[in-house]
Amino acid sequence: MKIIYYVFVAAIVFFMGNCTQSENESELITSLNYVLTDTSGQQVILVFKDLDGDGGVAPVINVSGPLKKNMTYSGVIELKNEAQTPAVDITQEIMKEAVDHQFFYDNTASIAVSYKDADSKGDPLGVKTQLLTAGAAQGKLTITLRHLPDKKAAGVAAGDIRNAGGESDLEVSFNIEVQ
Amino acid sequence: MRYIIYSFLFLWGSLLAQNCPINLSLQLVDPHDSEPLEYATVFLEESSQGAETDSSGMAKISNVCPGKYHLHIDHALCSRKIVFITLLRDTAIIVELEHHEYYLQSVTIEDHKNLQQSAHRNTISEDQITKNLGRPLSKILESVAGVYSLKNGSTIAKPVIQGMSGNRIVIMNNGAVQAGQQWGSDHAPEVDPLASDQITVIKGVDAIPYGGNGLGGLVLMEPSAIAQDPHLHGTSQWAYENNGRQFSQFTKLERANQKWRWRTTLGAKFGGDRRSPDYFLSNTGNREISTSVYLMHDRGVNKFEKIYLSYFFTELGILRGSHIGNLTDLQSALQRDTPLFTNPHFSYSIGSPRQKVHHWLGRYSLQRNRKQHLMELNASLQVNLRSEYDVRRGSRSNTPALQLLMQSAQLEAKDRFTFGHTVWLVGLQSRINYNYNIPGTGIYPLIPDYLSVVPAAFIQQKTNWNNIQLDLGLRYDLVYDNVSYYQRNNTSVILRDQLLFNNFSGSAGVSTSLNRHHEIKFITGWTQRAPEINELYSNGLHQAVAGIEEGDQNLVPEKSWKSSATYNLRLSDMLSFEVNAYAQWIRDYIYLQPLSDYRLTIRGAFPVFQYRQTNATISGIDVITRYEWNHRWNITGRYSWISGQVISAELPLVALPPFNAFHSIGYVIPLKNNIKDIQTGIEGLYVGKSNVYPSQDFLPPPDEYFLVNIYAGMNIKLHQRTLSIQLRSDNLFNTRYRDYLNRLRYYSDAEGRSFSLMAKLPF
Repeated sequence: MKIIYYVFVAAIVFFMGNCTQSENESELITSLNYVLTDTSGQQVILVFKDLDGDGGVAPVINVSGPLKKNMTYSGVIELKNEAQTPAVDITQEIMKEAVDHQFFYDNTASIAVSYKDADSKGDPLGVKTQLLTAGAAQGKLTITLRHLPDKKAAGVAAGDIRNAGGESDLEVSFNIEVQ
Repeated sequence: MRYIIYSFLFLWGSLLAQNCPINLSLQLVDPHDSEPLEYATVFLEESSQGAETDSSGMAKISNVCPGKYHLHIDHALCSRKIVFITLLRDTAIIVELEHHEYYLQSVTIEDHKNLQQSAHRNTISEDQITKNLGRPLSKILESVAGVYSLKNGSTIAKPVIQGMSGNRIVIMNNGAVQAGQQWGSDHAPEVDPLASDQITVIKGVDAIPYGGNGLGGLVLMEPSAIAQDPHLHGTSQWAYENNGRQFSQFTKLERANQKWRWRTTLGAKFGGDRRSPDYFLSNTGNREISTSVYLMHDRGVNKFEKIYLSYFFTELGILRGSHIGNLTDLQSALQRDTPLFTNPHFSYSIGSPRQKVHHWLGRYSLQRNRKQHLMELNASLQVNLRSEYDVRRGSRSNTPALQLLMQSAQLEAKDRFTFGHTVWLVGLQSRINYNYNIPGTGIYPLIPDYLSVVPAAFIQQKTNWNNIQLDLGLRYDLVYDNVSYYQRNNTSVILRDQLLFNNFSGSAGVSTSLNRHHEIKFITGWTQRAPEINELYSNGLHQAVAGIEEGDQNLVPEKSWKSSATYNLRLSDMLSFEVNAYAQWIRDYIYLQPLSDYRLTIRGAFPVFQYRQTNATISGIDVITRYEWNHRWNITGRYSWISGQVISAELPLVALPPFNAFHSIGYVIPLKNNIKDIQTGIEGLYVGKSNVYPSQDFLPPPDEYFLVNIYAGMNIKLHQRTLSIQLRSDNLFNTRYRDYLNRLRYYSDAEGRSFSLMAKLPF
């Protein structure tokens, strides 16, 4: 009888020893900046920011201005985790695992997007891109980051997401205008 | 001694021609009411001689040689009893066959005579359990009408009893309420079914003496008594299944002396990718190790102690193609014929996503008998460590995305006593659960840390008048939860809540036997269930369903009123028929409601599911029938129909099993040499289409399907042992199908044809 009592008390004391701790969401992506620089050095910046992750406050989506028609832009994407201080550069993490990742830039504004970088196997990654705008248009630009895509599938190297497979680590849409 | 010699000489003289002159006569009785037990088989292991008891419980075995024997006694309603006897002359013995097994099972006041027939409780025997080596618990429970499996592939399965699953089902693992993460639809109970010798399913409200939130039913897993036999005995069992190339093994050893009896078990499974008819289900391998030690200590006539220790480990792969990033991925996965990441080759390896679970259980039980009282004291401790791994960036795939440590302590005191025509059972229980998220996962936990303390008291009584039996029960549970969780809008803030719920349950039942062949039982009951922590506090992405789940801290307890009626017909042992109809009305039924708009995150859009409450009804009919003629042919039919409605919305309830019908035809080929009877059979399972609307899910419910299985089994005499071999093929025609309650139906077909071979050698 006594033994049971002691075991029970010991169990309760054992339970109480633990205490909730804060968790660092190291893998989280909170911010995306897509910086487009035209041949004259002028920039258009696309920003998606959701500092508190899923839920909570709604994300901030901003495009700094319209794109110029018939223009060549060089694009650089940057991903960060700003929920932690100092902010973590997620782009570096993705470039380290370039073979397992690929960005896709789908748009409905007749912009031709081409890759300007490659992973160690020579397949595109998409941190650096080149954009060629055509005539005036309005549409959506959807940026997707796929983890473990099939880079050899038909069209994937040219930026066609349809056969890429893998799973989405990021998917963000911007309303853009070409003037 | 002299007497023995005289009688020996006498026998020697009169039966000179015969070396084996002994007659063993035996009477089998129930020790509680001294009623004779008929239709039991008695069998001398060493000489292979046997007989069956008649209506007076008598059996006689003639021409037995003098010697030492293991006498096996098998009765349909009891677990096998083995008695060790020394025969020197004609012997008459009375054996008390403990099918109530007060000392051996947990103390209850169930009507033992109808243990197996009653639709409210269905018992699965050791023989049936061992035939299912290599399969999960839930698969074994499916042999009970009204039980279905909620699955995540074929290795992860949890029982659905008359439409209820997860938190609403209690699993009693050798006397302790199984403590684990029962809330997850992809969390199978962490227990090896083979370590139990008897599994009982109690449907509905007849579960007053058991703890937990048994709104929907109860699964009782119990070890049988260890035989009082000084020799080492045991069973070794092996199985191989070609789909998944799974090897399974289970070994049991036991021995006893005057005071102590022990049993130890060791089980293991090792399997790889399963295969649907057209492709491999990549990353669906499994590993499992289970071990247990059971000690029974006889402390005189009126005192008995039991100690049970067990450890269970499993590692389960989850179909790689079912791991998706967001809604866009889900939609493209739904349209694929072959799941993403399908490997063209078989593999034993398990990658992410995967689960690893360790479960430790220790239990101490003391039983005392004093005059009219039978008292029992139970204490148990459990530790459950669950780690779930996702496909993650960087080297994080080896860091669990969810790691939960659940510790549970349970204490219980029960007293059973008789008062006139009435048997009473009263008890006090207390359960403390502590759930802890182990830090370092790098992901905000889906469910919070909490301490839950549940003291409870119950009283149950059973009265017999003539042919009428009346059951009444009352139970009260006080649920205290102390929760610490992240604030929803600012996850750097940790909040603390204290919650208190009162749960009252009550049940009343009447049963009557019209005569030997007919029995009617009616039972009605009220049950309350406090909302579980996940329903109150879930917050975050449930990767398994690519949905954001949000709890609601204002949920109130569910209140259920369930009535069920059973009619049981038994015409000799040849024909049995049973129908069980039930209706359940649930106020404040807790369910996950998909919201109409999606939540935008940087990873894309996600559907949002919120825990809501509504009033719902569930009703259904379970039928089981068996007909046997001339001991060669037998037919079994099992039908289960269930319907559920959300009252306000007039929508069908989701996640209820569709109509299903199971038939089997068995034929025994009699043989007279070393190979004893070959049992063969064919089984057909029909599962209908769920009637939920396509708008209630990502996909419309899958079509109906029909599966055919065949089997053949035989017993081969090897020296003094009997080797049992069973060959089986499930889904013989390699039918392509998807099951409504298998979550992988969104991504892939279910398992295709499989052949399995099983061998069992008791010694």
